[in-house]
Amino acid sequence: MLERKSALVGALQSGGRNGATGQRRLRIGETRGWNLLQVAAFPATLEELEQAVRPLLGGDLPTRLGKAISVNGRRLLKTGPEQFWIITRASEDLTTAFQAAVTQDIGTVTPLSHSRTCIFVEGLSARELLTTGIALDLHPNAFQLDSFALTGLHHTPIMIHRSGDNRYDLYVMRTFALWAWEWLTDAALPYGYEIVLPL
Amino acid sequence: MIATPYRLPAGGRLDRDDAIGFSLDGRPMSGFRGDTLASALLANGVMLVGRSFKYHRPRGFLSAGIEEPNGLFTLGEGQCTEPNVAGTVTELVEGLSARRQNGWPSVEFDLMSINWLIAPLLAAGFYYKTFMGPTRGAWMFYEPLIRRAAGLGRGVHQRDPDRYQTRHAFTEVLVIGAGLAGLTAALAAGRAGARVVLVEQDTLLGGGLLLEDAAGPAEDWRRRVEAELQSLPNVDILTRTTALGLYDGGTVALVERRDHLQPDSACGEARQIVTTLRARAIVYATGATERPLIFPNNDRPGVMLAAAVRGYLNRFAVGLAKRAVVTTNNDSAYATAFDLARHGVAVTVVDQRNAVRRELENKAKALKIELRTDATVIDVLGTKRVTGVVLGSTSGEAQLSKSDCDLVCMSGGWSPTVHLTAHGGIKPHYRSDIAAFVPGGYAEGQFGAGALTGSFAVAAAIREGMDAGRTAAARSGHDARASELAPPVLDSTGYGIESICHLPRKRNGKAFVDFQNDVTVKDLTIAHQEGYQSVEHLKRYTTLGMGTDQGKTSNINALVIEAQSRGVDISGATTTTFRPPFTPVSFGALSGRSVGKDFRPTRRSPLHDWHLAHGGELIQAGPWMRAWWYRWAGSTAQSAYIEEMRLVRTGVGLADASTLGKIDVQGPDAAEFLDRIYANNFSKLQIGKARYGVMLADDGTVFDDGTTTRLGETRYFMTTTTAQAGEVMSWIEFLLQTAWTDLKVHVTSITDEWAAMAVAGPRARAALELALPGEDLSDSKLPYMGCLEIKIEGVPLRLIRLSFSGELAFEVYVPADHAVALWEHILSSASPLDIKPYGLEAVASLRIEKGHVAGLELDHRNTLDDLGLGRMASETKAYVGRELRQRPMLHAPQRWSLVGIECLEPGKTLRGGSILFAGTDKIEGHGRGYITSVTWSTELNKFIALGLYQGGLQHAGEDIVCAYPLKAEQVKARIVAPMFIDPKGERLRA
Repeated sequence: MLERKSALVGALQSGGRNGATGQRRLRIGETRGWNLLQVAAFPATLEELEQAVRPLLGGDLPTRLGKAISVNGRRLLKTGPEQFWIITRASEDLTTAFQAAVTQDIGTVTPLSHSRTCIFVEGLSARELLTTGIALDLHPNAFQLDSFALTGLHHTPIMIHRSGDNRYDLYVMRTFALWAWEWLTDAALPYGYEIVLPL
Repeated sequence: MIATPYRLPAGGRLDRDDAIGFSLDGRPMSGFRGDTLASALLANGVMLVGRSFKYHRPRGFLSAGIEEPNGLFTLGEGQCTEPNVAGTVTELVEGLSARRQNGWPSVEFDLMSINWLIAPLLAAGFYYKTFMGPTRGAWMFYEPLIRRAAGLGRGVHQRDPDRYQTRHAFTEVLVIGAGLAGLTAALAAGRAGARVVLVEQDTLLGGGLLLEDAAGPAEDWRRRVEAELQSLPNVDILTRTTALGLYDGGTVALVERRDHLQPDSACGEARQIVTTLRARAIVYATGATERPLIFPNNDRPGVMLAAAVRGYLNRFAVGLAKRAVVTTNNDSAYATAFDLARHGVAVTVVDQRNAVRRELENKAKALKIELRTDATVIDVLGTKRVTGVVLGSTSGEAQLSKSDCDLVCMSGGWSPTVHLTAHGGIKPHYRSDIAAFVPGGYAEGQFGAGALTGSFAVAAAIREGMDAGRTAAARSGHDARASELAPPVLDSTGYGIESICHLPRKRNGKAFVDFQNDVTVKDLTIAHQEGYQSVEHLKRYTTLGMGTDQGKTSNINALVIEAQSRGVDISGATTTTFRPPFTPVSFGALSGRSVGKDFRPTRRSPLHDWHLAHGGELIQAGPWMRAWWYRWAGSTAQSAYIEEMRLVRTGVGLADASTLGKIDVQGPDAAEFLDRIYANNFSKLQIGKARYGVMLADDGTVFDDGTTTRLGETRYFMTTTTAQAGEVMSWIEFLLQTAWTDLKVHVTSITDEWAAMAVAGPRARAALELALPGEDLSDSKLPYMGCLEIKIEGVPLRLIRLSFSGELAFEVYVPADHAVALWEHILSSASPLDIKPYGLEAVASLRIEKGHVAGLELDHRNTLDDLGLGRMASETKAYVGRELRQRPMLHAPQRWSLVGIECLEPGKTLRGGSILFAGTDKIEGHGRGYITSVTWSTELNKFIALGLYQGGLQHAGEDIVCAYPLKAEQVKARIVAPMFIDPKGERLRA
């Protein structure tokens, strides 16, 4: 009865466009089927947090900002000095387990699965496309595989993650998702793009 | 293909197999690929290219570059019309349409040129001294005429159909300028393996090398270096790209022109691209610009900068004359004289100096050039074209003589192009050995090379370029050993400049300093006599340097003249401030895709599409699109909102409240934190209860309000107003990160995570019970201001019983992806109760009847007491704003405070912003208050309002006048209590 509906439901049906040379050099779409959990310790409790969640994850939380790691099929990102994003498959909801393990004196747990929409861009021209809106050095040597950054897209906050050699996932605010999609597909016009429908 | 009169049969850097058709004033002409508009026009014998700004004097091209003051054209037609474009830097492309400017009916025959008769009235600062009578208001009669006569080209008001793009880029070494020094620097850095971006505003690389013969050592060197640069994958070459400005952090703005590619906007191709480039190191190799000499009638068509003539000859194969006079105060112009002579032009060199290097003398002799020293041009003959010159001596003694010619090449020396280096505030300084201003310094990681630094010789330019390139590359860790680069073998003429600015003796005829703005030596003299002696005043009073060329050929000469007038040494002089952009850039290019509806991002509720599909009319509210009213209720906003209000007051309605700011507050110190930011208490709030809270700013005024619910011992769910959600989030983050670092609490924005909808009206509970059967929603389970968390099919729902409308109401929160399903479910389940959606207009109106303050009252000038909320302020705890809200001025008895207002005149409207007067007041001045919010009241059947009134509710019951001067309206009204309905709150607590 209360099925989920993405912010991009209509937009995804609009079909791709040929670029200036008649080709479609980019693939653009929405990645669904994930959950996002924000977990944060206080400055003095980071170690306790790490210990508390280790058994739930079956591995360690990342120690470096800016590089996502994969542990047991989950993606872990260190997004702040004591803050982490845990991205899991939609079939797995760790909220309750984390809330039980991370007591309020150790840290806080905030589900954010609905607050973001994930748009991906793939292709040899993906970097060139993204530079029209993102003020980051995306040179493949500077922003390597699995790098991520919390940055801005025309004054809206986004998280960009390089999830493949030529593939970038953009986690945009859900209320800005359609705007971000329109911006992206407009900037993609000269390259031409294919819209990949979600499975 | 057809040789035009002034095109040489061979030579030049042109593709003669690629003829290009263009038009001038509708007349078809042709040129070659590689031409600029200027070179093509000159090749076609067009010497007269426009009329000057004030005096409408006939003008020709002065230069061959971006410093051009005269040759400005209107390009394109219709929507694509672009005025004031310099023909010297316009690449000739097929179909280019160009029109000359500022002559009526034509540039050839311009009636406006009669204003030379009133020229004495048009001297510097004339509009401050003339056109002031006979009556007091007379100036406003003349002003539009003067404005109409001013300006050069005319723009159009049609929408630009082309596309522009902005983007970001990063690099390790940015080299600006691709002349000798720039090419060398780029090569040095590129060979070292650095990521290099080389920008050049011209279509070809080479800079000064392009002035040399197109078949010779300079061209060989140029092509070799270009080939090697292109072979390096780590080097990006951007031609047709101007560096507009230098900003902090090694940031440079670039604009790239792509008209030559004929971009198709329908396919998203842009004609101009502005790049914000961040570079770890920058090498400035921007070269130098030649200065004119100053003598009467130095603005005649055919009087040109010497190096430009050489460029037209060698790069564009345009021979401009049969007889040429080359007048100079330095050695560099001799290169022009020699090249002209080699092409069979009869050349006379008029050198202002007493003596000339033996080497130059000998060469001149060998080429049969007439050489006169201690000589200067003191007048130019001819009006629409040079026909001759009058010569005298620099020392002033000798007889005058005449010399026939059809071209005058002048060189007053070279000014390094220091602009970019000065954008960060480092002022250039004067070097008397080369009589020029050079960069006064560079920011860290930035370097200069070549003519920019005053190094005009080939060997120095290469050495400096090499050093700069290597040092720049090293900043990114690239090891740059000195690499081999033999310089091109060029004739060196030296410099030997003397007396940067020799002023003409008294003689009739205007001697121009700034060609574009028609500023003469006399204007500078007048300005000085009138006391405008600082260079900043001089500039603005005379308008020298304020045209599209920004004084590139006039600033330095003016400085010298000013120094001479004041009798001071120029070495102590300073230039005016250099600011971006270096050359004109269109607003379109700077805007990129942020135009029209894309000017800023649009924020949409999860229910956006549903509103659109079901008769919702949307309105922009800040970045949000919100449902304003629905078509089921009426056909206009004015009628619909009243029906929607009626629905909520008598039945049940459903409103989208998803735009409200929502903040997750968690941690052991959550309660303490809330106590500190709200004026009222939150630490004692029971779990499962909500409370209305007001936040003050530091200065004691009201900042924002909202409802915060306690979900657990250490967990709260906070809401803010829609408009201030971002400000509140920033503010509390700021406090936690700077002032209260010891508090263990986290705040997270969850505005996007949760959708929100309000079920409101006497039938609200019944409606929800139909939608959520099996849930106990009774008054005991979910009392007024209570919170209930439930799950439906595993989906969490949060019900908070609070009311903005004043009716029985429930706010229902659900994770955003489920919003549409829940909304539709409520509407269909409760349809037996005639539930319908209602929009923002009705929401805003209902709350006015209830006397709730909202954004229009929370204008950051009002206090809690002003808004009737003084009793909310805690007496016991510390909170932001507590101290400053005690200021006596914030408790002054005559402050304006919140009142309700009832309209007493049926048929008349109350208007927001109306100024309030007591019944007996004279209607003038600022009155005693104003109306903040207005609505038609369906309950009271009249217009009502909230407002601020001096003395507030002390005047309850009194009659007032609401004045709206913009429409000359006055309406009688009465002050009443702001809560118009249900003062006891019985509906809320049902």
